[in-house]
Amino acid sequence: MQATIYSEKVKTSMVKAMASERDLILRCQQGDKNAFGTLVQKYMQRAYYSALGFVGSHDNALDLSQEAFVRAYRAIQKLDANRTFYTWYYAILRNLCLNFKRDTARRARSFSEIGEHSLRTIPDQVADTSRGAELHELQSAVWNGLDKLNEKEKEIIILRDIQELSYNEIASTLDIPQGTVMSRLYNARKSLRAQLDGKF
Amino acid sequence: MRKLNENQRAQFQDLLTKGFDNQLDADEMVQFDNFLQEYPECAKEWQDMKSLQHVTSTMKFKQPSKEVWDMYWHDTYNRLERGFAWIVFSLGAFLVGAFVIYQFITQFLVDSNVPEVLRWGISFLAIGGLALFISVLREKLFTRKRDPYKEIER
Repeated sequence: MQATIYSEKVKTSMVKAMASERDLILRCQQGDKNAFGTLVQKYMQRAYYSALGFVGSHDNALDLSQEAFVRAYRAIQKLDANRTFYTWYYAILRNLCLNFKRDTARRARSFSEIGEHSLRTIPDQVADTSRGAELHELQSAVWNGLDKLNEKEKEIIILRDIQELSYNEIASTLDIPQGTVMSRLYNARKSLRAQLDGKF
Repeated sequence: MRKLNENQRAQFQDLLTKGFDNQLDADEMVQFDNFLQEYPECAKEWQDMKSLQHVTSTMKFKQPSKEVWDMYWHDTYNRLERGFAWIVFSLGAFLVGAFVIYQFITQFLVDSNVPEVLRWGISFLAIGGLALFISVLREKLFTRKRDPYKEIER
């Protein structure tokens, strides 16, 4: 009984959120920049971290995520107000990041160049220095392994394991069913594990 | 040694993914444990994945400073405004340019009072200047987009 009430509450709050987002999109389509500002502020962190996952540097992630918002605003008339803004925005961001990566691909970037600056260390797991050094080496191996995966595999691991999005959030971001999220995650982790064979 | 059939494999894959993400509920936990105890290949796969999980759980993105978020919309808004300004500026430049070219052709080039040498000379100057401008502009844009060393401080 209590679970039913809870799920009804969740459903109601989701419907409310969708309605307010729809309203914001409609206002943006009428040229209201403040409404767009609300959408930007709602999604800026997610956008930044997604871009960081693709390109690995703070400055580029900031630049690309903002550029994607600008492009989204210019094309906002094309967005169906009943769709989720972020799913649509993410497709723009993703293309922008992949183009950026293609343009700068001639200079391969290592973990020490990217990952070390973008990743924070979880303090309680590196209590002593020797473990810290070992963990750093493993993180480096995982980061380099991630770079060898195809974009879809790398993307889903970053969304789940590094950005810590829920299955639902990933499904909505990538516009795929939750079952596909799980199977893609399984395959991606398996590929990553194969890349790391012998390192653990 | 017992082997998984296709359905069991699919079921185990879902449970393994959920196990990796700490998303198993009580029933699934029991099912998962059964797989691990009954099938050595499942236990081996779980062990392998656990070592990966140990590392990925320590890899989280650094948070940028609070100022980055404070300025985020402000900077995006400036870009939006600048983009609009560029569109208006380009449109104006195009109209003025088209008018100047039109006037140059209809007033200057066809004017028989202007010596022919001067007409040719000024035409070459204008065409050469324009070609140089386009070439430099294209090179600058191309370099900015493709320069692999642009992030290196000189």
